[in-house]
Amino acid sequence: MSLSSERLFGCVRDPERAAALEPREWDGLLRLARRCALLARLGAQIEQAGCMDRLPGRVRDHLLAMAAVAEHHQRSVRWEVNRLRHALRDVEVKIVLLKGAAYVMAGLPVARGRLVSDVDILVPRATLAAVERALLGHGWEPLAEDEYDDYYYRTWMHELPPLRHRDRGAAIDVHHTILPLTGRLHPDPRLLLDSARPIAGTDLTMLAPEDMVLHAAAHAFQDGDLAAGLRDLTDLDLLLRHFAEAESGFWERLVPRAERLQLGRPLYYALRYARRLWRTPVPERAVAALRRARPAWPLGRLMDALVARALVPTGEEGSSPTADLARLLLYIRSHWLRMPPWLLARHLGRKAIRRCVARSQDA
Amino acid sequence: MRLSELPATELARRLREGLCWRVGPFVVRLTTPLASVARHVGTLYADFPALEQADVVDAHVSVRAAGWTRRRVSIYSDGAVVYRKVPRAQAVPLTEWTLNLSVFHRPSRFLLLHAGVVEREGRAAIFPGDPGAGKSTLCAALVHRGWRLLSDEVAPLAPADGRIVPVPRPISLKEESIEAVRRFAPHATFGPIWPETAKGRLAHVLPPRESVRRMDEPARPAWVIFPAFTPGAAPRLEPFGKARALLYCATNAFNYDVLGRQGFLALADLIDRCDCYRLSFSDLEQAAAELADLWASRSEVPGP
Amino acid sequence: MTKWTARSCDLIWRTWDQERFVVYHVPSGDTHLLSRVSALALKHLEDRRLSQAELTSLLAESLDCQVDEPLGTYVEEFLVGFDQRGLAERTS
Repeated sequence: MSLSSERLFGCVRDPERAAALEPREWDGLLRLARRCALLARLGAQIEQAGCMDRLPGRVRDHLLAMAAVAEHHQRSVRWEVNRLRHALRDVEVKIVLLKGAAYVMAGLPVARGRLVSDVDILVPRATLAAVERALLGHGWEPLAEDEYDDYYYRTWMHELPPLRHRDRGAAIDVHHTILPLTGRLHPDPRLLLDSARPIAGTDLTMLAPEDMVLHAAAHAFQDGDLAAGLRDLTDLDLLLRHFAEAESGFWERLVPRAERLQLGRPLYYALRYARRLWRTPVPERAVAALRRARPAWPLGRLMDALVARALVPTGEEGSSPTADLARLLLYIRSHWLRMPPWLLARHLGRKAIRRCVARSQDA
Repeated sequence: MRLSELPATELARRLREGLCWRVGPFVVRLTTPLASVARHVGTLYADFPALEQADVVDAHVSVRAAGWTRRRVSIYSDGAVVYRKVPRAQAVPLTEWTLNLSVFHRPSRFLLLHAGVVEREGRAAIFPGDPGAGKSTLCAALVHRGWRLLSDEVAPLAPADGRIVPVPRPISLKEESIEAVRRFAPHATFGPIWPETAKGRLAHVLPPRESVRRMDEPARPAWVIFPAFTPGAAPRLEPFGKARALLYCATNAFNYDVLGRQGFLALADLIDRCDCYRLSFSDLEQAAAELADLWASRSEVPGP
Repeated sequence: MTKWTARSCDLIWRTWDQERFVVYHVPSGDTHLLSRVSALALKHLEDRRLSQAELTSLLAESLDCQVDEPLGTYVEEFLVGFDQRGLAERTS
């Protein structure tokens, strides 16, 4: 890891370090933080630690301006949730908020300084049609580019095509499972729905703490293509720290739950990389219990190398070829995990063709 | 030390390493080895102060030769590519465009109005408008007739005190506007004409030295004037409804949504304090005359 | 019976001529331009619970006019609009 990355992560972990920086070190740090999408988080940590006043004025201005952006995101998400409830008020359905929307509505520490754009919800599969109808009737429209995308989403992935509101522009993803139907892992959504907890002060629900962590891990290491890798790992670190303290017996429940949901491997990666990057405190007994889930040696080494390179943003202009390759391999991996090879080839082929067509039309 | 005081070789050297200068409250750093870009910077930003060093820079732009023949350029903002391998002939206008993009399209504590602003003896006139409404042309003209330039396109409004902060950068003009301003203000200093940009012919007008010299003096708005360039029409200055003016400014401010309630209150106060008009004009002499009359008819008691 | 309500703490009003009203809706961040009649209707709903009929009659009083079908239709349309934008909501 480069010196500047180490300094950035160090400042996010320990805001006092930020307050001790030389003025001339700030320019590079702000730029790097921006490129890692960690600027808002850095500001929130510094604010939380009461160090904001000790920073140079112009640095404060940047951090406060970014904080205003994060607050705006959170106001928008709250409003989207409001409109979601408004649209679904006549539909008998249990709605579980996922990810950013859940963090914001529940006021969890992980929400501070986090940019949230879309709303993700989990509903029982049987209610999918009714939910979609209600949303379409209240101004949402499907975002699928074409029929193939629509087919891709509905049949092979785990969601309706994302729906975007025609006036507000915000998107909502309605899930009935958390990993693709075509993938190799099948965490049972009913288990997640049954354990969902109310969000205090609202009539909404969110995942149980262990499930929230496992969902974040699944999203980072199984489902997504690690483009938001740093953000996901930061989420995981903050979730783990919070629940370790706020929920008695959390660590005891986490690993067995992971095994029940077939998410042992993603959890293994999550804990491994969160510890490395954020020094997340993980009890030894949890590490030991997860040993079963670790990958075979060559794969493990490869993942270590790929993740380390893919997570750290590329240097100044141009791309570091190794980082790009690492990202590409992880992207392919995540799609490999989502689809059988013949379907993957067809899917990637179509996307590539579409890109070529688009490029030739621009030329 | 102003950019114009640097010898050409020194300017080129500093640009290769990264030259910082300030435009109003914003600090930019431009890094480039290209001679054409260096010349442009030296001309158009001649009166701006170069900074020896800058702790925190608001926009990093770098322009480099690209392609295996090195006949093209790529332009980066904060390390990310904005223009990839464009013809060298477009390097200068696109660099200018990227500098603006980088400075204004990032989080800000100001409410960034999409408007030109000029000022005279303590009172500022704000010209909100869509591209094509004529605000840049109008500003370019007025600042050569006794008005100070605060901005031709993006005007930062400070929510705390309602004043406009100057960002008196070079004004870019397109097509017919170039000739119109040349006729109106023969003594205005223009950069070269760029023939083939995506917006047609493009040229930059230097901000008057006085405007640059006073770039740390915010101004108190007194008028919000919607320009409407209407060929063949007689000039007219008519009152414009304040409620509509507020909505229009809100829709056209770049970060109105982000500032939320604070943004609304800042705009509401602005509209409260200002007289709002619509200005129809078909040539710049008429427009300048109408605005001179407006200014002359202001009440003698200074604004709040 | 369906009642309607709006929260005054969520609405920030400005007008300069009592004909066009600007209202900023805090939870959504939206800024609206309202005619005098729709503004009056919304103001009546602030911190009260009114049925459509009650609102219509209060509005008629403010406008110094009769409760008639056109007015009733206006009120119905306003309520649909307020509901869609979240300016007012149904309550029991």
